Amino acid sequence: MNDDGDIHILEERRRFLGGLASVFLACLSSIPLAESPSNIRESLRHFFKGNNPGPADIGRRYLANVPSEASEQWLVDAVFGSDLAGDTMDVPLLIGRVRMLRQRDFARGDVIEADGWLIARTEARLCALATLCFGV
Amino acid sequence: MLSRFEDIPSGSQVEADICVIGAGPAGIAMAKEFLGTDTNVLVIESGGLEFNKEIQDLYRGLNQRGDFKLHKSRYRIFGGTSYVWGGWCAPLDESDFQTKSWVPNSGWPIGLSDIMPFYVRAQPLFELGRYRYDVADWDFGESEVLSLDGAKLRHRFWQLSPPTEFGVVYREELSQAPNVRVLLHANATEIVTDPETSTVREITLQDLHGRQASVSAAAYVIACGGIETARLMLASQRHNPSGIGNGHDLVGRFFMEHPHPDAGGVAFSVEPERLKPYYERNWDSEKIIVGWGPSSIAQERLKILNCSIVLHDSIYYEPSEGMDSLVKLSRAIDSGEWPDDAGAHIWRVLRDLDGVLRETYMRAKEGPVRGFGLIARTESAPNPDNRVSLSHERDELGMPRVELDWKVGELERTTVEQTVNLLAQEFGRMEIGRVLINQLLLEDSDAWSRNLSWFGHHMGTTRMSDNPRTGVVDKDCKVHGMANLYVASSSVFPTCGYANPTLTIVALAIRLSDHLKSLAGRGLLGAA
Repeated sequence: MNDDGDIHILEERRRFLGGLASVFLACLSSIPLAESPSNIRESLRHFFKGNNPGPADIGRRYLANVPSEASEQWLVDAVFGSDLAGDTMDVPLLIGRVRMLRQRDFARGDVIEADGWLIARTEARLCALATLCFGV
Repeated sequence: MLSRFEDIPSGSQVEADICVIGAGPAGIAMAKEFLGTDTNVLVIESGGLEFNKEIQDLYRGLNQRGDFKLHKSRYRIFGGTSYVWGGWCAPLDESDFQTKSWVPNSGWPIGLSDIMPFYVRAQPLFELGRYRYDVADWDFGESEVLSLDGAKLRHRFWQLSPPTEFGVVYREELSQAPNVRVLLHANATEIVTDPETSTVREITLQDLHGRQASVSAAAYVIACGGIETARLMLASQRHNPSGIGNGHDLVGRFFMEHPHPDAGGVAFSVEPERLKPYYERNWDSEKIIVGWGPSSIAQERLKILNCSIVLHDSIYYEPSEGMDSLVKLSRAIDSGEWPDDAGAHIWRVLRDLDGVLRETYMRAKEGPVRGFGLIARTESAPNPDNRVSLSHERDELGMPRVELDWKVGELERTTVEQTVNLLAQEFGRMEIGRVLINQLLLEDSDAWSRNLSWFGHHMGTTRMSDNPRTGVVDKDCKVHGMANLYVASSSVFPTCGYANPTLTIVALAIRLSDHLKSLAGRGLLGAA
């Protein structure tokens, strides 16, 4: 494949992952779906109240502790699993899945400390995904 | 009857059936129990009806940790430390009485069922309504009480006393009592025993003006609180240099307090109204506080102590350690008492100036409440190295002052950290919000233990045990090896749970009164 083809695939991929991030943001912040990286950034800030910590910090710290998960695809698989068919998204289904995973994490006690905030592992993984995708 | 030490001739001997040393909540509760009986009770109290600085200074001593002053955490006045208390009442949990394999030296020789009737009888002394310390006993109307996972968290519940000032509320009743005499300004300076140190013969009394007297009684009860009780026993060395009841070097050891750390905060993702039972105090014409703590199952699984967490100051933006410290500093300024750790608080404000400014701005704007701070109150583990001992310095009466040498350990820190984590799990599971843990709880034990608040819960220094090798008093609160000496104080607590101690102190005092009444009824008061 030539370079243009690679770039095209990468851009498609980023758009796709951006969509995924919007799903998780909807789950996290209970606000309307974010449609662009800048909205995603705002949404994350809204949920984490802006300064403390930034979602990028959460994502970076999580990946620093669990470097084996530093892969967009790995995180996508871990969070969305088989509910993600090809490149299409059934948004309500994915929201439901993230919520279910989050509930399961809390119920199991699978909680991650990120700059003081105690969040579900799924949330930390989604922050890591957002970090890898957008560098927020 | 109320009388003053200066009104009796110096050198005289006062007689009674029972002598109670100390007129705090325990001593006054005992005196009330004997109203209308044939037993003559003498209550001796160092203080008077009004606060007196010279008398209060007799409490000065050295707290090695330096985080609270011994003479400012308890009061020598008729009514004792109820003069300044907050009124939080809660019984111990059933599990607090049990031996826990992961907590060395834990467990009582009695259980909750042994003390329950006395909790119920103690309740009205605090001007409280019915004894009901379970959320299920209360109607919160439309508001929600969370349905907790019992393997993790349980509710914690306090009923709030007005708070009752025992020295004010019960003064008249005791003044009128023909068989109860309260002797003010009388300082017990020595417990005098027979040469075998098996029977108390008398208590020596002094005041700050050189007057002396003594008390002779059939039975004696020390009700001087968690520090002074040990001090008096240790200082009574006429026939034994180790003091009274101290054959196994236990008096003064196992000192406990309730560390109160700022635990962090919670940012709600639901309307705070939903959590009203956890921040609104007025329900059903009474005042209560509802919080959370680890269930006994969680304590065992995580190998932690008992603990409680409650909501405190409202948060308008987000939890902020700087704001917590600013509030503490502002309270200190209001009270006129600059805290010893003021520098650390100032540093925390500066370090978190951004959060402080934002929070202050949102408060000024009277924006919606987004969450609350969290304050914890944890059990401390019974540790023999945490101890009250006598120093070489003496007070104005010639009594050795005390030295308190103790540490807050890693288990206490872990307990609070794990409890906050359990709260985060449950708030997350129920989609209530997210919890921010105070970073200090994640630091090493020493850094953490330097940022705690204390509320004068001194316990454990004459602990209860069936075995004289592991305790100072037996299950009847009688000093092991002594025929007629008892203790009514939080000093008898072998383990302390999370609950504020005053309700349990008074319940045990009533229980001891019943025991002494039974002995008196059989003519056995003071018998071995």
